[in-house]
Amino acid sequence: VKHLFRAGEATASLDVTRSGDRLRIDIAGKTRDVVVLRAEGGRLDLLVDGRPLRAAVAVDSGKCYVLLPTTAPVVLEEVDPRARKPRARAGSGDDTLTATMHGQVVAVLAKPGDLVERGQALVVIEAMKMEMRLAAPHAGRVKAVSCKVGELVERGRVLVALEAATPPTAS
Amino acid sequence: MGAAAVAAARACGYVTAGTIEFLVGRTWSSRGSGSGSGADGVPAEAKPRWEFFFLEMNTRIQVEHPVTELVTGIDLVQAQLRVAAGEALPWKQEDLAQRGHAIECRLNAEDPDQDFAPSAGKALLARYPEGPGVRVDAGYETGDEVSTHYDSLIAKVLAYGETRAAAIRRMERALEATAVLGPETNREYLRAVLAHPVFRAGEATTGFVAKELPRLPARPAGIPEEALIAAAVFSELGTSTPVRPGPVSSSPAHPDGDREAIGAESKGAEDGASPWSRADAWRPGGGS
Repeated sequence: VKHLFRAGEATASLDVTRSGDRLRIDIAGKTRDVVVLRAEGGRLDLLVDGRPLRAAVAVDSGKCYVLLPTTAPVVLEEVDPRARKPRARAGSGDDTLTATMHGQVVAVLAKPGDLVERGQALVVIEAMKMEMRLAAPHAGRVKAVSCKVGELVERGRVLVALEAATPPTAS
Repeated sequence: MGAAAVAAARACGYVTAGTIEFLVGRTWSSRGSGSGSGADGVPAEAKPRWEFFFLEMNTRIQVEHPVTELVTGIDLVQAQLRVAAGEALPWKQEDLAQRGHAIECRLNAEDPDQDFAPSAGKALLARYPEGPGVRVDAGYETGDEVSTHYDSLIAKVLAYGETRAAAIRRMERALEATAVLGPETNREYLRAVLAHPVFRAGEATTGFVAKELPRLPARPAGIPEEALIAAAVFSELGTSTPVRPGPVSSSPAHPDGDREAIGAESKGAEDGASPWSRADAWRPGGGS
């Protein structure tokens, strides 16, 4: 069975042949012999070519979270190998300021029309007893402010839209 | 420092558990001797002089109290309740002694890649280490919602050892066996601190984070092969019957059999491939 995973820009495919608790996995031109020692409660203990591999795995909303003992968590999306490539997302993301965490807006420091410098704080969010100052990703003019003080915002929510200011004339 | 803390509490007639914080500083006794400087501008033949300074007192039990409990063997929270109930303390000052070293790591729901911004969400999985010399005080289990209404502490992971090096080693194993998935956590940052030469040398100061480890080093591009294998196996097994280590395991002898004894001992605590985690009539040497 072919499996295709995506993490951000990177994709990787594996071919899995299963017989009971033993699997043969073809990956990156190599064949790995995998024995499942334990698989329960999100815990996976494997022997890969005779070497132990321990992982914590959880699945949520189509995403597979994998945590190995010595690396940061990896979030993988399993993709149907027969499906077409997804279209690229529009927009660079650089033109907006988004909430980096779920929290409450405690200050809005910019209004439409303002000229702002790169790194200038535009919005302050509070969560978990911490205040987070969200700064302009680049210099420009504030096009729109889409949040207000006291509002609860989700992570990733657009708070401020920026547009390029008129470029300064060359001196 | 202990005597100063006791004196401070006595001086203000303080009763019940409290926490007195000090800062420890080092100054160098001989300066400007003209014989050149070593690293950090310290004169070559200078001798360190250690001093401590009162920082603050918290009139309550603090988040670090398990460290005290591990090195003294007393239960501070129980003692606090006894005092509140009007009982006398079950021990005297001269009964108390410190032994060994303990470290506490605060596993927080925060993202080291985003300047440690809080990270909320459902804990899809929460697994904590166990084993000799390891203590965990956790506030969340699998399925719990980590909300933004409280602070970001998920769990306190503690390791005890006869020496500081042993405590660090145990803590490293304990963090490897700590798995919280869903919200971002600082686990990798904690591991990076433990591995940092300045921390290992006991030279960390209040400026450590800003100076030595403001952020985690960039991770290599691409997806780790081990993560892919784990995800593929998980996807393949689906929600079918759980696989548990059976009495006739296909596992070879302990895979870390060559490791030095202490490392193997601490690693074995949470290792599913280890015979020590089996509950059947297994015997060392292969007989059964």
